[in-house]
Amino acid sequence: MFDADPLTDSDPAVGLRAVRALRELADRLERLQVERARALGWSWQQIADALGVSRQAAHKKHGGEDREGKG
Amino acid sequence: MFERFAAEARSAVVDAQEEAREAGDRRIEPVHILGALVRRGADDGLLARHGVTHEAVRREIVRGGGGALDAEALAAVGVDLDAVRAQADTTFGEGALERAGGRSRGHLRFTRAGKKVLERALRATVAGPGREIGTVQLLAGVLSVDDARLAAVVSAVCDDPDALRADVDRAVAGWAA
Repeated sequence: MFDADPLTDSDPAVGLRAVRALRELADRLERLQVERARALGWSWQQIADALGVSRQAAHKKHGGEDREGKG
Repeated sequence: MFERFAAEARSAVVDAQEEAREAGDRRIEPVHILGALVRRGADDGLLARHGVTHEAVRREIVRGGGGALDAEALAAVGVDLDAVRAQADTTFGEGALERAGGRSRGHLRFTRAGKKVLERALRATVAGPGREIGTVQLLAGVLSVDDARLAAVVSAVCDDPDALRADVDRAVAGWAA
């Protein structure tokens, strides 16, 4: 898709941009996965365990997107 | 400070939040204020005269943004964004990744540079003949801050940034709102 130029790849500017993009990508996938898990009936505790965070943390981060507000 | 903003400048500040949200950014930066100004054409056509269009500003904002997914940078570490997107489309439905990026709801805050734009706009107003902060002063504020993302966008969308600055300075000096 893009040329993998070893010179550019060793450039910290590219590496740092990549880290930022990976965070953004991970955030988006997390939102989508949590939303789907909730729709499939997963509890906040199950989601939190899978993400390796506390139930409170998972609910605080994603609870606002949960219309039914249960769990 | 907002009570000193003329109606159009105030609307542009409000629109800047929309610009940030639509670009998938979580904070309001100088580039978003620039985007709002050019979208409204509320800068007395100054930006348009220098070849700056909303479409171009928007494109550059997204390209340089942290909110937008940077396919090129991801490829550099071996992640194929197209493959991830195809997978996400299958599991969550068409356009899921983009949808998930547009979730910054509620009130967005200004970055430090974003706040500085408002301060500089106020300063430009105090130094000039008018009492209210107008869109031209706001544009002067945008162009005066030292912000890497803004500099990249301005140099990409404007044929002669120095000439634009000079025009804006002239407009500020002659402004009497």
